[in-house]
Amino acid sequence: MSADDPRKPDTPAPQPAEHVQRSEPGREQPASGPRAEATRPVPAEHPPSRTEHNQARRAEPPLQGPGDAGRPGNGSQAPTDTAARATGASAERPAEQGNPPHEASPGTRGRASAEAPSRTEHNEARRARPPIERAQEPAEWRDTDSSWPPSQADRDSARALYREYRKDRTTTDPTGSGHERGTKSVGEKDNESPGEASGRPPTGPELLKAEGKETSRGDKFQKQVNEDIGDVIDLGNTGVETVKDLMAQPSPTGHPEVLANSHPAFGPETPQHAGVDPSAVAEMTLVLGVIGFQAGRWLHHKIEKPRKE
Amino acid sequence: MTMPVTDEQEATLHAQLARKFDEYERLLNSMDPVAARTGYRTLVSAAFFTAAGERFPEGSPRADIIEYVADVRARSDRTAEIDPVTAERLLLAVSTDEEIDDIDARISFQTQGFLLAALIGDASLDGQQLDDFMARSRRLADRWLA
Repeated sequence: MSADDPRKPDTPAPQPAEHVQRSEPGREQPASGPRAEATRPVPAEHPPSRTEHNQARRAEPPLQGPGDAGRPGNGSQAPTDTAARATGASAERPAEQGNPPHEASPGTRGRASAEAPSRTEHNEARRARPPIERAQEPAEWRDTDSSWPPSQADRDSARALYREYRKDRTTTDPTGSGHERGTKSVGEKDNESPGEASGRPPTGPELLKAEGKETSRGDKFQKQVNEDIGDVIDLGNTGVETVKDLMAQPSPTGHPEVLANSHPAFGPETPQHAGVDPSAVAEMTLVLGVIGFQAGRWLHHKIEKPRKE
Repeated sequence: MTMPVTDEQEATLHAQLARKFDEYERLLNSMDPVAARTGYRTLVSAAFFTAAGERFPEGSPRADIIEYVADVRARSDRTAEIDPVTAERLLLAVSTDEEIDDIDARISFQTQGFLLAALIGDASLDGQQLDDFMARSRRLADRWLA
């Protein structure tokens, strides 16, 4: 590289921190000699090597958690010193080179721990901040209508209008689904509004009420149980025969039991009368006669055929 | 606090409702008469209340009850001696607000026993169903006695 090389500046140009850090004293300088001359000059924007990057990262203080402040061996002094050691040269050198020193701002990884608030402090400060205030609603937005709820007359007229509308829908539009035609769904009647729940199953309180009613009916018997009636066993013995009569299997009385078909059929599925049907007997006789006649003919044919041969 | 229903009392009523009348009479006569005044009596009433409530739930027509009592009384000469008014009122008391305070407790107990036999006889319960029915009746009786 010649002295007239326009790329070589007369005065050292301000360099970023990374580059300055690489050229600190004690650091290994590029070797001089023919090999060094043959090597291309390192540009000012040359990224740090992996070793340099790792050294700088180790020198940075670790992030401070809520419980880290008072932990022994993890105090703020040592990382600060380490950080200062790591960044001190680079923080001073730009100043010497005409570059203003970077102010340690919160969030910077290489900041001094004394200036950086811990996570707890940050959260407390955020909570202490007043909430975001919204602009007041304009007066015309506020609900100043004192006419709600509407009067009974208004409600009645609205219901009448709705019924009229529904009637029109029902009569003028017979097509479509039941909902479109205004047909009532389950549990609703014609003279009730759509939200009427009177035809629906009982609610929980109603069930409890019904249970209470049953309990009160049981109380009538419970109260009577407490009255003295004398010897219960004697009463039981006197009524045994009556109980036998009551529990005897009732014999069928009245009209005879007739089996009914379970589904429509062309003919009777079960005979509706007892005994043998004469027409069935005649039919069976005819069929058996024909079969017998044919069997006789076949037998005769079998016997006569070998005899003729 | 009153004694709850005993196993012997339940077995006695179970034998009657299962038509094991010999066993029923044997168990009935071997029962403690003092304990029977409360436990067995309450068990019979609770069983009648349960059976009648299942046969005639709330809202059943009064005509059905009248017809049923007539049918029960028509089964034999002995059953014809059952007081129809008492029987109807007892059945109505289960499903309606009919009051039974003025009915003689002795007649009421006897009529409940007859109606219970008729109701269970008509229901034709099998063994498991009868066991379930007895268990429900005993729970109700124990609640009344508690």
